[in-house]
Amino acid sequence: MHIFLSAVGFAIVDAAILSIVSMGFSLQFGMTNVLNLAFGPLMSLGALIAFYLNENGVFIWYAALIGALAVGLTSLFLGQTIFRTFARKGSRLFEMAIVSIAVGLVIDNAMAAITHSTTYQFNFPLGSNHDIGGMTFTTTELIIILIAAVTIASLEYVLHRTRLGVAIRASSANANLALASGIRTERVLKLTWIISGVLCGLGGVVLAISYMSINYTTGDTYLPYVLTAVIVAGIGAIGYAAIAAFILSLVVEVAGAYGAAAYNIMIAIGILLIMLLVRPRGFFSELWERVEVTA
Amino acid sequence: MDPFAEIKREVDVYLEVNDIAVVFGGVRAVDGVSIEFKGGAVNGLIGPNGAGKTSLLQVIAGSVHPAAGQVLLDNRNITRFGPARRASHGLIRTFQTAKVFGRLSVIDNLLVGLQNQTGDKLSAALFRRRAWKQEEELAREYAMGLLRDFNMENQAHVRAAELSGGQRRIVEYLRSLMAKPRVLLLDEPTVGLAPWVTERLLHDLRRLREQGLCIVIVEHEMELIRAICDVVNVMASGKVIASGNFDEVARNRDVQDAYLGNQ
Amino acid sequence: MTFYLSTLAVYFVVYALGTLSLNLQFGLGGIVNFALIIFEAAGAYAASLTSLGPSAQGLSNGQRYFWGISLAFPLPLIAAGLAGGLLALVIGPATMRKMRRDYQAAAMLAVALIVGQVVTNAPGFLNGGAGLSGVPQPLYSNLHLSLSSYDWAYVGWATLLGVLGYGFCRWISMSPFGRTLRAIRDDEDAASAVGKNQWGVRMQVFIIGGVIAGVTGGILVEFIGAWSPSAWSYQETFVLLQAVILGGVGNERGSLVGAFLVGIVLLEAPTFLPAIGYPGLIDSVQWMIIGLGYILILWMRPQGLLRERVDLRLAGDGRNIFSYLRPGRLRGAQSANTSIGE
Repeated sequence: MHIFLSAVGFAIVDAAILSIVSMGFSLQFGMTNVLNLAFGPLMSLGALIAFYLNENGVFIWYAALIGALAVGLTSLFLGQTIFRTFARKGSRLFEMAIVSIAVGLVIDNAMAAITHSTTYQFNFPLGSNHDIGGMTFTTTELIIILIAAVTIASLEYVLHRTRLGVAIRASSANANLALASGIRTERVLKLTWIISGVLCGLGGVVLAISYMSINYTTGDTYLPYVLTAVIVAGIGAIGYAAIAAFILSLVVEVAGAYGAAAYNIMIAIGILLIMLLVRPRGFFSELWERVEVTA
Repeated sequence: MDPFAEIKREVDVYLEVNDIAVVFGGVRAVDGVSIEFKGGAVNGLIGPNGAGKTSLLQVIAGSVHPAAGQVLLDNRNITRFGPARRASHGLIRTFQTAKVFGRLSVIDNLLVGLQNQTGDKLSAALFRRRAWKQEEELAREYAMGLLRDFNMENQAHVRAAELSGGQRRIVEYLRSLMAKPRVLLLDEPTVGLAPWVTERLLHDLRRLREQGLCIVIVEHEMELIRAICDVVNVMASGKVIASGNFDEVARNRDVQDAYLGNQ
Repeated sequence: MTFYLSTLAVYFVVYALGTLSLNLQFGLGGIVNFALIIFEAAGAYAASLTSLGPSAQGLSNGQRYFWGISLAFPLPLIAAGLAGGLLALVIGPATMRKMRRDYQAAAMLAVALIVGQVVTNAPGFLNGGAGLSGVPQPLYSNLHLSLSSYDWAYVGWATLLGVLGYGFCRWISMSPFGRTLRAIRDDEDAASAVGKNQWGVRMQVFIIGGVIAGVTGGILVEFIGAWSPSAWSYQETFVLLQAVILGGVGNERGSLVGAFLVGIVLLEAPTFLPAIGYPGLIDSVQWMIIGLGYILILWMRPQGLLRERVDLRLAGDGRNIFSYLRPGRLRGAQSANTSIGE
């Protein structure tokens, strides 16, 4: 029982990180219909920027914010230049995926060149242990969970209780119709790129903090988890991505507690494969019928 | 070589749909439709927008599964057949927006239509070259003949993606002929065609009709329907509201209401 | 110096065959096979297992793998092809059903990842991350050649296989089957409407591509003598994809050009340069060039350097496989910028 409970504890922390990134991915995927495989490298980018700032004396959570914002701006830039260009050309869905892979390759290897492929240790004070409901969390972990909770709550609030949220959901469902209805889809699109980029960068930072180390491949190796959570939830189901993140983390941690940890990623990819082959639309998809790309 | 000699039938084809229902996200696009489509005749399928004509056509073609009902071809239940299998039984369709193989030449587009080519199977393509080479030559002549009828023999080696909309429609139609159809489902085949091309097409359809084909045509232009259809089936709101020859149907009150009501 | 050249020559054949098989699957068939490299890997492992002999478990040199047998040349190479084909037979039915193309791409990528993980972590399967080594070079003991003469003999052998592979791919491509394949690629629904079985045709091409990729892996491993997961990470498929796109989608000669430009000029030749900067810098720069290259090519000239043949008839009219090695000439209007195709 103790093993199970500690697995749950780990799962909660995992889920916190995963839900931040998954919601960001899902938000952008739902809006643009682009399977952006550069998300992994962008996570690493956010983490590396935050790490560098922290090493040079910036308070960690400010550094995290700056890192997240940097990724948000990068994401906006990529969306408005590269992805937009190909969307305008009428590129098909898998061509966009190839383009995103190419962008990811460039970012990844630029980071590799700059960091000399070094793995940095994130020497970060964990804080004291807290016992909650039979599970043990460090202060840092609690902060991460708090950040995730605030992020999920804010995002859900924006999506369902503000006009911006309505605009986002309408533009995701049908960009032309939204435009015709007076929604300023261009502005909504820009905000989507920024917000999803910020979530991506933030997720990368907290991931690095929880791993206590960071190199340029950190985001890459994490991406399968994100894809799985997003696909299980379904395209357009942003809030559900957080739920899917939790379930996935639970499955992985529990299985890992009783088996070998090396198989964690295999479980995630296995679930991803099964989903893609058996029920690609996911469980809560709202935008499955869309075929065109918006950028 | 008479391009049409190949398509002659001895026995009349028989196509029937029974009690077809199609549901899209809570809406009954087709609601209990039963129609007998006569072989050796041109059957029109008309109706205002949203009547369910295209959905019904898709059910007949096999690209949409009906929620209920059956499709029978020559008394064989083909409801569970996919589109490719139906095509192999002679049920050939065209699409509302003409679909061509963009990166193939026009003549190759037609040649793809040929069913049961020896060279279509990988093993035969590799090891029975002489057989399929001969078939190719004959098929090529046949296809060039079809293109000549529509003044397109100069486009034979043009990439299909560069064709205009009307030209694509012709290519799609000719490809359907190459497939030796017994049933021909045409979805708005005359959109974007020059008048002389339309005339030519109608002339073709009359000949095909004489040879026993069952032709189903979805159309909007009343003049065309009057000119070519032997039987007209009118649909509105997912149901068949009238059936008969053009004059009977035109006089029908329900039909007039359906069209006027939709304007 | 000649060592460099002979190595480059073999690598060129390997890249060329890999590109040709991806061109067959993706360029002609429209299958987004982001997992092609695992078919090469299957072939390489099969060739290794069938020439290394049974695993010497317990010895200090103990590589631990699940099965081994010592077969004479050229059986290991045949085993390699079979392995590639079998893997395609297993993976195909699941991944080749009709689905969103980017999801299919993601699924293939996931397959490549998971196979990589399984091979690296499963104990005693294929010796994990360390891989297999000491794979004997075929006929080495029989031929009694000097090292460098043997290398060149191997180059000749590899080239022969390469030529056969090229001719074979063109043979398939320039037949009604190849035309049907391309039609299915261009528009599945229209192809079904005239009776073409998209799944069956694509499976056949998937398997054939798998066989060719398997043989390719066999050729490589019998030359370099070792094979480990680092040699077949999922990024390698992108090198081949780049070669297909750059050379010209759907054009076999283009595949050769692409394989040369990307595989040799960009990737392999620079490894013989003196080290610049820190170790791994050249690697990173190469991958950045590949990434940028993708974006540029897809933006400016997505159909690649050599265009796809417009017409079946216009390209060569041979009586046997060797006549297909002659280039075909293009006639008729050339198309403007198209996408790399559905």
